Amino acid sequence: MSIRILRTIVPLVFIAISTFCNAQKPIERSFKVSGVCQMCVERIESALDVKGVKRAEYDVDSHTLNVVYNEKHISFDDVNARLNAVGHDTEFSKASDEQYDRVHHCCKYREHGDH
Amino acid sequence: MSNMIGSIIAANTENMATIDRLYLLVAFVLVLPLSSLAQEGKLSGIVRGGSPLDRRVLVGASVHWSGTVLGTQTDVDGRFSIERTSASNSLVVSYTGYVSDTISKPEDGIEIFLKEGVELQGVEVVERKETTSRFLLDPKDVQQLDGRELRKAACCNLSESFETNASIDASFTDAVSGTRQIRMLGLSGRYSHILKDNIPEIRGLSTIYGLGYIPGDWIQDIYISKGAGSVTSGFESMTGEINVALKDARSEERFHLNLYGNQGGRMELNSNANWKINPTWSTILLVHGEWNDSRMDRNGDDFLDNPLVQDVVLRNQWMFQGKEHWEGQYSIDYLQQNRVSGQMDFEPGEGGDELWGMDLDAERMKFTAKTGYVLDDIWPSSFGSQFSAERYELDIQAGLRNWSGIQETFRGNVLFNTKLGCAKKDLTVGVTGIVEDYVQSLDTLSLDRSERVFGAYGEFTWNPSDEFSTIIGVRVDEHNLFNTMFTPRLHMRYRLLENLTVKAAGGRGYRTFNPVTDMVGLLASSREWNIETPIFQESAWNFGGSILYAFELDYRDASLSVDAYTTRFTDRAIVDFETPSVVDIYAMDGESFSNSAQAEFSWEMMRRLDFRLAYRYTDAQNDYRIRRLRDPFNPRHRGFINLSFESKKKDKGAQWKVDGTLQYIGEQRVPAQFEDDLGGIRPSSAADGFLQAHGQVTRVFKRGLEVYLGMENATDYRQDNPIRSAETPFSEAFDASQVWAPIFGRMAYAGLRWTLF
Repeated sequence: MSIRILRTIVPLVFIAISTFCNAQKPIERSFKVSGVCQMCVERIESALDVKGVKRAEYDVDSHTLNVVYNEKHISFDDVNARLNAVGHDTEFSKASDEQYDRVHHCCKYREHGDH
Repeated sequence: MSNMIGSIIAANTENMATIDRLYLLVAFVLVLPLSSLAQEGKLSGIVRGGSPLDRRVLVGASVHWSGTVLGTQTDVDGRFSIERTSASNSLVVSYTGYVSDTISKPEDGIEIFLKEGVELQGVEVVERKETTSRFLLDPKDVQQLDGRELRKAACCNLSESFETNASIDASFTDAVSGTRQIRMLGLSGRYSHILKDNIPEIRGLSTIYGLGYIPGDWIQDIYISKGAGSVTSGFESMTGEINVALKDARSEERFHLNLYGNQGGRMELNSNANWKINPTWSTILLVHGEWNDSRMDRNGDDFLDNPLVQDVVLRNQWMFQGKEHWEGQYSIDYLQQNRVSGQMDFEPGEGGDELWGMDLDAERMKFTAKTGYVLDDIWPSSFGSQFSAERYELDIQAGLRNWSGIQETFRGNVLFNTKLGCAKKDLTVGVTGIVEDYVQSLDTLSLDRSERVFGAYGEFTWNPSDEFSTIIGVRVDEHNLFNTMFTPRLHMRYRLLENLTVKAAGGRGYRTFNPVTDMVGLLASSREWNIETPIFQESAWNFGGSILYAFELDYRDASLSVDAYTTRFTDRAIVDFETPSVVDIYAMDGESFSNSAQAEFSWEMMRRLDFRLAYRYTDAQNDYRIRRLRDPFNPRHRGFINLSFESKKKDKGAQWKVDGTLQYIGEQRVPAQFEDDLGGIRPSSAADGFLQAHGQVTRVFKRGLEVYLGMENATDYRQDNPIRSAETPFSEAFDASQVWAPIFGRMAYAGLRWTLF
């Protein structure tokens, strides 16, 4: 009896878990974002501290942002737009001059050249 | 004549040649920086943090040429190598939690020191990191609690600072004085070595009270190192080392004020201010005042629930940073404390057997001097010296009993640190001297002693690879009262996998037993003291290890650590209060040990939400004269859950912080007690396990201004009648020293922190 119950419950649980996981399956991407210092790291990571972004880690030396996000809540374009909005250029889209002007003087990556 | 002219001309041409050469030289000197600027090739060096007296390599520090994006990071040994560039000749070195430094025209093989503190062009750039960190690369099992961790709870002083930490237990010494004690690896805090800024702080008469002498608001970081400690700091550590780093003269806070008040009537003021006298000297003044004059009795036993308090603690530290080689830290600490507890109407100074009361007066003065000299020009090495002188006076009147003691301690430690061959081998050698006099008495019983201890030590650190490192330490001390002490200690670290590190440690420790102050809570009773070992040295071996596994769970950092340690006494003064009405203190005949194991899981559950879960098992047993028994008031099981949340930072750093801890304290053994009606003796029993919770909410209005509101003992669990025979305090059965649960119920507190940077 109990074995029969287990036989029905166990697959059901597995199906439930797998559908849940599939539905929530986040996307991981790494791409270039301009930035020069720890302040940039802070700014970039907190710009992506929003619903739908599970992780945002920026490596300032390689100018690479690793982001894990859930497409249900945020699109990749939104991710880029959010970075531009705080003044950072990405591999896919550039911040407007207005947006760029707002970054702290020590973070003016465009002036540092080499990008 | 012509000859003469000729010679003059010749001289002139010679002068001309000299001038030419001079021009050439000047030109060369002028060009030199340019050529060195244009110089291609590699620059390598090492980045360290802390001070010359306490140097550690910084792993993963960022190194880049100013104004460029050419950068790198330091490796596991703190070393870096970077291509030189024509674009810049100043090197910027930064590391989270340290003040960044810029070095112009760095030379190959440069050693860079970063000062602790957070400052980068006047802008705070703290990366969010865990407030409690463990070190994968340190061979020692060290946990760091930073200031943010400490501010998660009220933590008015060091004894209250471990509420959000699973490794250290805090409990009350007695039901009267409100004094807390700590326990590490299942043993009383007196078996851990407690240091302040790397200098032994709590020893001798201050074993219990000393924890209360370090205001929590002054603390920058606490480093908890389980198991055998380092031989460089002494022979004392048995269960571990707790090093408290206070805010120093180069703290980023120019001015700081903290006000605190709780429902129990306790009020506190903490403040510190910094002055930079000139580029080489800076100073900090720290002030702590504590006051409680509300007589409160919530449990109706006619005894004050919390003591009446008047405390003043002051500290003035001076830091000296010479141009290149010298560095010094000098400080004066002063403390004055008065605590009155006991029956509601008790007034200090009133002797007699009308009202039972406890009147405690303490005064302490301490000087410390640390000086370091760095010899990096010749060879990466340094000299350091630490001297401290202390006078501590403690008087306690407890009912009809009087205890008084004066401790005078002078301690000196001189050490030399050098690299052997390459940076992978490091040797520290040194000598230590301790001169201590104790004048103490319990009523008419004199317990005076004088200690003279001189010793030498060597500690060798070897990092042959990223996978393996070890610290081997040995010290020998000659004691005027006891045998020569031989203290070997060993630490090893092995990285099995990328994220899996195994550590092992073993070593020996010694300490001199303090007959009354080690168990000062027992003064709050009518017990008669039978001290067979007034002058006695305790010693123990400690062995253990830990496994630390760091991984990612749902894309966020998580870690799992498991550790197990055993402490086995070779000599111990057994404090036996198994018989009501007496305290027997005698030398151990048989065994005394504590085995403890802990598992801790921590995880960034959501962004800005940290979760910590821990469980600890302790098995501590002692051979008493009657038989072997479990250590009293020492729970076998302890569970711990902590959740901590921070909201997103708004403009100027405004945010909310919420922290909650729930812990389970398992069943404890309670020694035999008199029955309530004095009809007989109730044999040793078990006190039920209970749940304890506390929480705190902090509102940060802007960086530097915050208020907090918290609740301690939210579950309101209380020990039923913590004072036996409270109605007849001068009877044989009176006993307030048998405490296993909170005495004061639910208690709210609030406070304010204001800081100018």
